[in-house]
Amino acid sequence: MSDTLISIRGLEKAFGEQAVLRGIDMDILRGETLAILGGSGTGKSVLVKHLVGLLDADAGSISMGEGEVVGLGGKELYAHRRRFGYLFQGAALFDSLDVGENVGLGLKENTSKSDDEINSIVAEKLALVGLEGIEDKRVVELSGGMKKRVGLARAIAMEPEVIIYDEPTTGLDPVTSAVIGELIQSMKESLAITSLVVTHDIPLVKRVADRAVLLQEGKLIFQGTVSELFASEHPRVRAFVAGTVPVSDGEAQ
Amino acid sequence: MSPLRTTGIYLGRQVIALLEDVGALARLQAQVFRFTPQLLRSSHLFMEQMLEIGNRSLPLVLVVSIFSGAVTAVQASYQFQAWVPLVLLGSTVFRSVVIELGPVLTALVVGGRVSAAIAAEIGTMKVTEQVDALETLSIHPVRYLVLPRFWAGVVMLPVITIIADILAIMGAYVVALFTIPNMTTHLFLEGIRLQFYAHDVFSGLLKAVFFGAIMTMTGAVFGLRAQGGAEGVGQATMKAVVASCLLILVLDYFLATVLFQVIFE
Repeated sequence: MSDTLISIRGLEKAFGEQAVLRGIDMDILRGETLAILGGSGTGKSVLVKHLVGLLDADAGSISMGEGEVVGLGGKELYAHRRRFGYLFQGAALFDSLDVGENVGLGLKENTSKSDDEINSIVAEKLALVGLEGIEDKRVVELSGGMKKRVGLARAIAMEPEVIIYDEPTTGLDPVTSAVIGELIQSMKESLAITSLVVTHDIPLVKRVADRAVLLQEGKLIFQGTVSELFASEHPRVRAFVAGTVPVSDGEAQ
Repeated sequence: MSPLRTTGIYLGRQVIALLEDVGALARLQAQVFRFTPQLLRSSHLFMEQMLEIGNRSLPLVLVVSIFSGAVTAVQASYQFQAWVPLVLLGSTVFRSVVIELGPVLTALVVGGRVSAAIAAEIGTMKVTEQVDALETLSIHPVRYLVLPRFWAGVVMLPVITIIADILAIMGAYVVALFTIPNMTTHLFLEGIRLQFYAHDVFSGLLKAVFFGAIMTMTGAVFGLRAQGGAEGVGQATMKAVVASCLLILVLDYFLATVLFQVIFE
C-alpha cells in the first residue's frame, strides 16, 4: 500500500477574487482509503473535482501514473475519467431514468456490451450495495440512503481504480450513515480499490480511513495516518477533531 | 456617481452579458455540429425527443392554428369588402399561412414550450450535479443532452408546421364558408390554385428548420449555464423563452429578406 497513485503539487484554484486552493501538495497511495477533511467551504470538493478534470487548475500539477491530468482535454480526459467512480453529495441520479438505467448508463454509453451483459452487471453491483431487484424503481421513489447506495452502484459499475465519495453521509440519519460507512469499508475489501472520502464526519473517518488530510483556508494543515490525526497537538486539528471552537495559533503557542 | 455614468455602466454590463450569451451559443452550436456524426449512437434519445417536441406540442398547435386561420379569413374578408374578388380570399389565406403565420406562430408557441422545458430540465440537472455526473461517467453532456434535442427540433418543427398550415387553412375555409355570403368550396380552392407557388411552401418550411434550431439551442445554452438553485433554474428558463421568441422574430425578418428579395425575387 505504499506506492503513489496520484501526486498533487502546488495546486491552486480561485473563483474570481476568492482563492479556494492555495498550493496543495499531497500524495494518494494505491489501495488506501484517504479522508479529505475540512469545514464547509474549505475546498474539499473543489480539490477532488480537479482529480477528474471537472475543474481546471490555475496552477500546479496532478500526475497519475505517467500522465499529467491538469490540461487534459478531449478523448484523453474522458479516458482518464473512466479510472474514477464518483459518488456525489446528493447522489446526482438521473431522475429521467430508472435505477437500472442509472447504474448501467456508463456501460451503455462507453462499452460495446450487450443489454443482457449490462443488466447482469447492474444486478451484480446493486447486490453489492444491498439493493437487489430494484432496477425498475424510479429515482423519486428512493429514500436518501437508497439514492446514495444506487449512486455508489453507478460509481463502481465501470470498475474504476479510484472511488471518490463526496460527503457520503451528509444529510443521512446516524443509522444510515453507519450503513454507508460499512459499505465504504466493504467496497475497499471486496474491490481492493483506492478510496477518497470527502467528509467532516469524524466517526466515519475513524471507521473507514487509513490516512487523512485536513484542509483549512485553502491549505493542508495536516496529513498523516488516522491515529496521527487523533493524536495531533496542532490546535486547529485538535479543534476540528473534537468539534470545538479553535483557539488562535498565537494563543496555542 | 452621476446618473449618466451609472446608466453607462449598466448598459456596458448588459452588452457584455449579451456578448457572453452569443459567444456561448456559438460555442455550443459548434460542439453540436462536431458531435453530429455520433447522432446514431444516441438514436433512442433522438426518437424520445422527437416524441417530446412533436407529439406533445400538437394539442397546443391544433388550437392556435385553427383559430389563427379562422381570424385570417375574417380579417381578409373584412378588408376585401366589395373591392377585391372573393376568389382571392383562398390565395390570401394560403400564402399568409404558409409563408408567415404557420411557421412563425408555430415556432413562437412550440418554441416557448420547448425552450422552457429544455432550459428547466438541463438547468435542474446542472444545479443538482447531474451534468457533472455525466462527465464523470465519461459521457459528454453536449452529445448526450443537446445533440438529440437539437436535431429533434430541426426535424420536428417543419413537420409540426405542415400540420399547423393544414389546420389553419381548414380553419379559414370553414369560417369563410359559413360567414361570407357567396363563398363556396370551389371558389376557396380556386383561389389557392391561382396563386400556388411551391417556393412559398419551401420558404415557410425552411424558416421552420431555423426556428427549430433556435428554440432548442436557446433552451440548452441557458440550461447549461444555470447556477445556484431553483432561482437560477427559473432565471435560465425565463432567459431561454425570451431569447427564443426574440431570435425567432429577428431571424424571420432576415430570412424573409433573403428569401423574397434575393432568392425568389
